[in-house]
Amino acid sequence: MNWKFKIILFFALMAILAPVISNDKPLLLISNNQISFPFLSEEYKLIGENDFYIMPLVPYRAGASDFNNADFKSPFDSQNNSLLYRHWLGTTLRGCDVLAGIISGARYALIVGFFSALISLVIGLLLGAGSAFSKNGLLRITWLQLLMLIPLLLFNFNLFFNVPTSIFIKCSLFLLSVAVLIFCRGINWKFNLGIKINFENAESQLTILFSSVPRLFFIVAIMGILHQGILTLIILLGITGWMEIARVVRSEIQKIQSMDYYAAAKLSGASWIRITVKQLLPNLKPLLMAVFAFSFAGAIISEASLSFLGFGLAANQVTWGSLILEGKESFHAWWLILFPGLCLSLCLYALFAIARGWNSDNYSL
Amino acid sequence: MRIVGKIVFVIASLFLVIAFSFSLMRYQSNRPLQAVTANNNFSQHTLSVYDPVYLSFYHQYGLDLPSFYFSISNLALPDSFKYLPATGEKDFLIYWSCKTGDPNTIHKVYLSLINFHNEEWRIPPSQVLKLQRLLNQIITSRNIDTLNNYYAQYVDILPHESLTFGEISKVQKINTEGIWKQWVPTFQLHTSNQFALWLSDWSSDNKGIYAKSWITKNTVSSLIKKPFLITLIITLITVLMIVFYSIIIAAELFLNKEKKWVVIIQSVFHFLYSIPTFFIGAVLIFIFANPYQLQTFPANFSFAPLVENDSFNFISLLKSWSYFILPVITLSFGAIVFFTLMLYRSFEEEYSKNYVLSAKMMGVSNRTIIYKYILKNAIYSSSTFLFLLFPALLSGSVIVEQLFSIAGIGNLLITSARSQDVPVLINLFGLIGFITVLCFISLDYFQQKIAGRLLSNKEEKE
Repeated sequence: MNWKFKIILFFALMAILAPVISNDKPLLLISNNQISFPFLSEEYKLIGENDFYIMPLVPYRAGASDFNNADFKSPFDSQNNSLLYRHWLGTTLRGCDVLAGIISGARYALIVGFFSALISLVIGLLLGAGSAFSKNGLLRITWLQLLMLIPLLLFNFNLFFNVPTSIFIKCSLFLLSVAVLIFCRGINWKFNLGIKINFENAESQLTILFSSVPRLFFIVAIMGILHQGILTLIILLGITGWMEIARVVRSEIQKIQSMDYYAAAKLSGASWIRITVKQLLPNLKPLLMAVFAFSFAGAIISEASLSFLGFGLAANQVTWGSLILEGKESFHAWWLILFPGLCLSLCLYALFAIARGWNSDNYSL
Repeated sequence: MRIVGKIVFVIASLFLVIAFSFSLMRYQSNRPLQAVTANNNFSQHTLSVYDPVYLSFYHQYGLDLPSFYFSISNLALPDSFKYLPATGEKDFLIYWSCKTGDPNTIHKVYLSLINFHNEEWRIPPSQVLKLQRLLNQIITSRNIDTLNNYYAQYVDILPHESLTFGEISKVQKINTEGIWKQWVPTFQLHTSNQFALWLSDWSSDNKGIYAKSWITKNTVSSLIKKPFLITLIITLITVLMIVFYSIIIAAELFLNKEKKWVVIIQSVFHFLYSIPTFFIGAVLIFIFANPYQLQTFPANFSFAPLVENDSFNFISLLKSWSYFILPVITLSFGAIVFFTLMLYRSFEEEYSKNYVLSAKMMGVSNRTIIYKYILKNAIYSSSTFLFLLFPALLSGSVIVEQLFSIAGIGNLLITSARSQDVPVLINLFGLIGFITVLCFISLDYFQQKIAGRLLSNKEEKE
């Protein structure tokens, strides 16, 4: 495995094992001959004097304040606790542990980055492939489909905004209406002539529309209106990051379509499913990985800068950006700027290196 | 002709962006008008939603209007129910309007509910608990018979007539006529809406609602003018810095490419590229603007002579040169690294071409080849980056302005987003969108006319 993937794996393990590594509840507690695992339950158990317990590696929770060590304790300062409970990377103004904050920050950065990159990859892949596959920039839609489209759109709008039922029923009805639209194509209807829509043009103009407002401007303005939370952030980053992906995917598919092996597969009568699975996807895979890594990194940067501005996640969720924001307030707390910043830069460096690896020949996982 | 088509499309897309932002404004979590009314002198505390003063403000700012020309719904009216505080009442109204498909009756119930909350103080305290329990039962009932039953009990206890919300009994009538209506949406056309208000404010010479800030009461154009100029100065200096330094660095690296230190510098550059802007800014402040370390440069832009006095002129701009150093370095750092790597790559591509070989044979020195011949072609090939640099820097200025407390566009955006100052936000959106799209168009024009002519000349020569 490559060193770049090792770095990402390190941060991913840190994110997954976050409640085990840093927690203010013990991992194992034996009191009155009863074994319990307090870090799994939400309620806090008091530890007696004769109890046996094992604390996590970092015995602090992110954002929980330790007033004995408040007011910016440096990593090298003498601290008011035993060696096991030492703050190895210093504390913030309220005495929050920086190491616990970094671990929680890794969690939020990777979750937000991964899922928003996934959303933008799906949107970009659909739009890019759609505009590449519409031959000569044209997409064929039958008249029956067009006729069905308007009432189905109205129905779905009504379904999602006005009808008070569960989200499961809404989604299944939505999928049903999509299925109806697809099966309309197969019906041999009298006026089933087909019209041509310039999908490629529409896609490129949609790209200009979405990139006309810079990403940070857009998200800051909307985050002021909507309530702040991780889901809102993921969706907003996802729908503002697909433009580059769509452009790259379209040009790459068009390049593959002009290749000889693609023409040979078509001439030999392969179905479109076989062509997609055997010819297109294997050739698109390295590009998709590179593009995914790139948008992953972009989403992490945006999340960190939004947290730095105070428009990211909620106030009690500690991220790398919010730690740096706290470090900016004080003129001597170098540990609050250096450690989260280094983690952020290392994570981004690995992701950019993965994205660059697509161009070089020695690309391997 | 293609350019004209582009411009027509651009105008349409700008309006789409603004219409989109209008429709988003409806989903505000906090009520902007409460901040506005709290800012006025007549009330010390924030007004309740049912207060007549609040409602008059609500009407004055056109917030009771729908946000756009069309709406598809079978609710009462497109913008209704958003400002009912109790979610139970909202759910109740939505449920019955879906069930009956009659918008007008439900809207009357909604209005009378608001009236009821206004007159709530008339209820004697002995009956409050009983009435509240009954109101809860009315709201949660999903059957028309039980609803009317509870409502009859409710009306019997009421001490005053104005407390009734009487339209509710009419709901039953419509219910028997058309249950099928609950799945049928209705198209509605609104000639007077918030978007039309905003459009008319463009021509009304700074007198309309959307031409004035809701918080500070100044006109939006006067609010935006100075911050925009400050941001423009910083961005222009940064663009010049980026182009100048990255050309020199890339050329010097390319000239010494056989030496060992160049390889090390290249890998260092790859690491520097992945450092985010705000981290660099925080480190720079920590080192160069720190009273405990080196206090060489000022970090707080709000003390600059350019901003401090009311004199916004060229001399004060020159006087405050030291305030520009740290922001410009922070803003240009990532772009310099990126553009250097990009230029280096295109130098490598160009260097293997025939015209370089012929120049070498004539005995031209390497430095002259790079600065005189290769650089021109390399810059043409990376023109996309240069044209899109400007909007990207505008976006990056949000962070830099927060770091160094510069009163620019980004700072204005953040303060107006925090206080939900809708007119300023929307006009900022329009301005930034206009600049970005202008860059897109000029890039298109450049690539068609100038770069295209260059390519065709090359082909002729070959």
